[in-house]
Amino acid sequence: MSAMKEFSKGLWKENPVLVLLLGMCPTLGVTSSATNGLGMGLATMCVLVGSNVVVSSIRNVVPKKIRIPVYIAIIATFVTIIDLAMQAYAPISLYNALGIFIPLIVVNCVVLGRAEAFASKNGVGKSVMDALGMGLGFTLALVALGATREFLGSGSLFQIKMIPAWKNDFMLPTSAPGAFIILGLFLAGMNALNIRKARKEGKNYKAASMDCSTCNICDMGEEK
Amino acid sequence: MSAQKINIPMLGIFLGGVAAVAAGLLAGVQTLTAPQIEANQLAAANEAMMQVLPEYDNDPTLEAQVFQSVEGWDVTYFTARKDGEIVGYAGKVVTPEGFPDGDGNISLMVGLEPDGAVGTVLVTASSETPGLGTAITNRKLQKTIVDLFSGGEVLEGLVPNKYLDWYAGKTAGEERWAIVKEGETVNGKTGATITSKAICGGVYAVSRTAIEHLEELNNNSAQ
Repeated sequence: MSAMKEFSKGLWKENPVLVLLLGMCPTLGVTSSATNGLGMGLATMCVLVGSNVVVSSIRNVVPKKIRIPVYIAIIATFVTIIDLAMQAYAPISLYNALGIFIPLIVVNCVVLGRAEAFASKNGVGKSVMDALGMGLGFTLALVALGATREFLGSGSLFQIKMIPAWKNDFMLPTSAPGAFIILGLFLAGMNALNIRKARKEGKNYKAASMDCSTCNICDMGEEK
Repeated sequence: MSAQKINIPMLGIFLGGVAAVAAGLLAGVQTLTAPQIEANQLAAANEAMMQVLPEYDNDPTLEAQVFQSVEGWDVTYFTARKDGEIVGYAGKVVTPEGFPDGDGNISLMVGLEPDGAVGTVLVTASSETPGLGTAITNRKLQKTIVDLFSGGEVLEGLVPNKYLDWYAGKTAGEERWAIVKEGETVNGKTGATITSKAICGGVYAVSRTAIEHLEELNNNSAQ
């Protein structure tokens, strides 16, 4: 059942956006609508799965000294493939809306973080589950943020008006300051839930992202 | 791995190998997707033109002509024909008179009758203030939850916009059109005067320049 655990940890306990606070740039940048969040999340998930598979399958061959450049080359290759594929087969409005953020998946620390912290130390099967879980967690967080911002801004979800009488758009939630405010509320809610759960179990909740001892992203695996 | 000597040439060769494999893969993917990407870009460029022109069967981009308006803006005209007869022109112009909070540019695609009268007006790109200026520029279809469940008719095409529809059927004279904000038919919105004026000026320039060069437009198309 450990494979299932690798998958599910990305959804909640180690959610890349809401707990580890990784990949904030696309998170804040593209989530002005649910559609954009979904597109960005799926694109990142594809890159994650691809890079995790390749990195974990060559983990015993790559010389330690040059592993980071090799990982970056691998990730950049997958990002470019996704970029070209989206340009060719995704709706042009979605591709235009995501714009520069698609090429920028290369420097999304979720992707390099999973390659370095997980895929380079685990087998292919586990790495795939890890990538799927992290990718899905990233996607869900982006869709949730995007849907909230879009709904508060114009009463619509996935570009479909839920409240037909809502005529004038409310600009704050869909603009950049609104992104920070709503992400902050999400994080507060996430922490409140976790604290409550921990209290019920009689434990003290420690926010994972605030403490390096509970976070394995920073463990860069130097000679051990 | 202990006491391993760093073999720099080997590292270089390894990294080079990885890069070569990556480059080969990308070359393959690019070759595969290139035709589709090109088709998409062409379709996107032609979409606005198809929306403002009546039905046509030629490729208007092959019969493009550029004239300068009185204001000094370049207006590009695309001639649409059906069975060899001119059915209309699509005039494309970028007016720099938009709201200066953004970059101030508003791109317009204006459908014209063969005599230079204005048909459909479409704003293809702008950086106007959301909620104020965009009330004038927006023609995007907004589906609602009611449409989804009522079934039946499929919504398509352009949404009526009273500010842009004001220009339909008008022909540019010597004077620029005035901004009308009161009454049944309006082309200006209180709170978005700059946007209203910019679009008014842009549409006027397209119509006016077409009328000034109507002979050249017609003659070129006849060849």
